[in-house]
Amino acid sequence: MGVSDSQIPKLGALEMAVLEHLWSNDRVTAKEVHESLGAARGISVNTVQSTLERLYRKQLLSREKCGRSFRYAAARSREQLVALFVDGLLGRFGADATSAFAAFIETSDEIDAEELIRLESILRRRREELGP
Amino acid sequence: MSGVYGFAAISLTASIIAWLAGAVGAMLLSAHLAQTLQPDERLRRCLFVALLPAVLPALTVLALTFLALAKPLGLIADHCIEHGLGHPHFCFEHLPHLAVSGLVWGVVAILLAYPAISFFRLLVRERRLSETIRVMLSLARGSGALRILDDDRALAFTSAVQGPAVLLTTGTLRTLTRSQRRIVLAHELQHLRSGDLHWHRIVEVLLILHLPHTAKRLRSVWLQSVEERVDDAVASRFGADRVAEVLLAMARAPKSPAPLSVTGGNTLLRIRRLVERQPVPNGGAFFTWLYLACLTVLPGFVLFAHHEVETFVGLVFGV
Repeated sequence: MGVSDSQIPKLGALEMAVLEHLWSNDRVTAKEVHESLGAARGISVNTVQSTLERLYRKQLLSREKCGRSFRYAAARSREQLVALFVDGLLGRFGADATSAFAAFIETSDEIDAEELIRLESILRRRREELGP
Repeated sequence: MSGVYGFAAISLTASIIAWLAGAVGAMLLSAHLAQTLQPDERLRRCLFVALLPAVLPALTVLALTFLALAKPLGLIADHCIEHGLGHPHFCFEHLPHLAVSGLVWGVVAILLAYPAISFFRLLVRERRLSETIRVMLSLARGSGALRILDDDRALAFTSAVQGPAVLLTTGTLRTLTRSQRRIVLAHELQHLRSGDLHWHRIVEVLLILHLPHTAKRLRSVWLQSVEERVDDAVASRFGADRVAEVLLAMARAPKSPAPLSVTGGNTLLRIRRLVERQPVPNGGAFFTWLYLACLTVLPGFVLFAHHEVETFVGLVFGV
């Protein structure tokens, strides 16, 4: 079934930026992330470290001890995270309306296959009658 | 001052009664939102029914306020003096102080807690949704109004968070031809043009005041009608058969193993409507008359039978 609210991580702008960095760069330390992102944003290494820690607790990063610091890597790929969020959106709105969101089609598996075939055959007949 | 307090107590009680009456009226009216009507007519009726539990208390309080002000304005003869003050009178001058017991206030608080909690939950849900969509927009490729999400499922979304945007999945790009994608884009852009996302919000707030079963029914009718109206708009440009073919292609596309459901309405009904193009009845005047009756009975009773209502209030409040 769809993913519940609690399984969808909340992600702030800095967390997203750090994730983007880790998808391109594997096994990095907080200092290395700060050198790439922190300086431009005017944030400290401690802030970057806290962000990495939060993402680790949200199970989006893995880490291994390397001397006195940790090296972090993305635990979920970009595609996996997208799928998680799409699952969350779709699963959340089973019976509820959305406000900021409208989807093109109902993706429920309850569509009657025989009825689909019948309607397809009507369309095919019309196309043939109209000719090329 | 005691007259104003008494009037406020009576107005609050009358509002709650009117709200409940409106909710029951909406339940009865929601049975007249047949699928066979045109989507525009269904949307209009749906909106009127959704408004009923909000409008009816307002009209009832308006009627009470009119009564309270009528004597000073000389619109009603001062009949309080004619037959004495044996029961409450809906005027600020003669309405006595009403000692409403704690139990009554407790019941009122519980009744009002239901819409208050529902509204709070709606706000939390909307906020959570906006956050989720914001993250999805940053995960999507592209920076303009059209964004591509790396997902194998054939899906298309419209969002109004951080400005209008249409999100297509890579599954959609693979499933549909170029001309079919144009139809999907036209459909999503039509949602934005019609302001559907804002109307969803308004309707959801109104549905807070309804009985759960009625809210579910109205929501379903609303969403289905919105999708069908957009289908019609896109069909007028591209042809009904072509729109139906796109819907069929999306319905046939590989999906996630778990059944998921979003607000695209009932796909089969949409396709059938486009393919079969059955003639649609006009709708008739019965609904309109029934709606007007629901809207006017209670305020009309307060206005034209206020003497009986005053006697009733006297019995209820022991005044």
